[in-house]
Amino acid sequence: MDEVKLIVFGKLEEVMGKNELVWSLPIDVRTLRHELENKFPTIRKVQFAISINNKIVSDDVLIKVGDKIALLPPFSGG
Amino acid sequence: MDFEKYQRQISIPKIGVEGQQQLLDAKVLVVGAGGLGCPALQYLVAAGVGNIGIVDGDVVSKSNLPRQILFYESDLGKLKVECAKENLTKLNSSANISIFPFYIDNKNAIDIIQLWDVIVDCSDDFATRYLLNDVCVILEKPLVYGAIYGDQGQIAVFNLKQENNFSTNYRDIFSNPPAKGEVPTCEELGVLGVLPGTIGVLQANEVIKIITNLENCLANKLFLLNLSTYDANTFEVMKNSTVKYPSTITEFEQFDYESFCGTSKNEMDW
Repeated sequence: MDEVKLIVFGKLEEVMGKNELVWSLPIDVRTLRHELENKFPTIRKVQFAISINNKIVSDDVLIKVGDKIALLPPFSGG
Repeated sequence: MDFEKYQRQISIPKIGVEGQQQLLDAKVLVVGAGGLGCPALQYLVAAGVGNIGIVDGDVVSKSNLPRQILFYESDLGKLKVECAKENLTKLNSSANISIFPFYIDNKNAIDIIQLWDVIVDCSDDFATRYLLNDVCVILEKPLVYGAIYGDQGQIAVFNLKQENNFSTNYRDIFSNPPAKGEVPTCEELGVLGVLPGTIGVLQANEVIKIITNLENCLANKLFLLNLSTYDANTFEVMKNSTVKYPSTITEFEQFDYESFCGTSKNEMDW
């Protein structure tokens, strides 16, 4: 099965209950966001950036099998 | 120049006398004298950064002491900027320290920020972070960003042009703030002092790299460190041309950062 690995940071780690997930291949970043929001409805309120292979990307970027994807919420503490 | 004092830094080939002189001549503004700001200030002043500005309107409270180790029990109840200046002067009396005993806002930011070469974001709320980002974009000031959450920290260098002549900023990563209350603060979540201690020191490291033109600074990159697992990740930041934010001094001074960060996924409208 075509899969990608998701690495999760900060607040999202608590929302999703783990810091790594295997996810079946979404077409692009926008689709991945929708799928994540369906599975974890509370993340709709959380802003986060998404990176593919350590490059922060916009929502229209395509995702390939084996891509390493990170979900990066902002931190505010100081 | 005090060669005896700075001998260990001058001995670094990439710094040398020239780099030490750059540090002595530099003007660095630290916004926030808290968990991140204290260690950043201590290392910058100790390294010989000649001109330091500190912005913070708060007073020292007991719960600050486990992580803001620039302050002592005898400082409780006193303005942070005054205690910081006094204690930093004991560390390095040759530093010229300016203090701003109030919070930065979109009315005072332009006048303050334009005086400095490098700005260090050691604030602890989204409104200040977006405000500082936007004013530094407008005034083309390098901004060294640091933030913490739980056992994790983020660092980046914004507005520093690289060889390819493009620079990125906080809005290219996080175009809009999260809903108010969505990201818990250190007060709500708790924090071990060693986390802001580490991240603040790394911010000082980036400031020193910028001033002395050392390579590998975190321009166009976002660095994440997990102090529990020691996982470290660096992400490339790309220009996000779709993001709209204040781009002139007038727009900036009219923009309400408090309400911008108090509402969720807001579309900006002006």
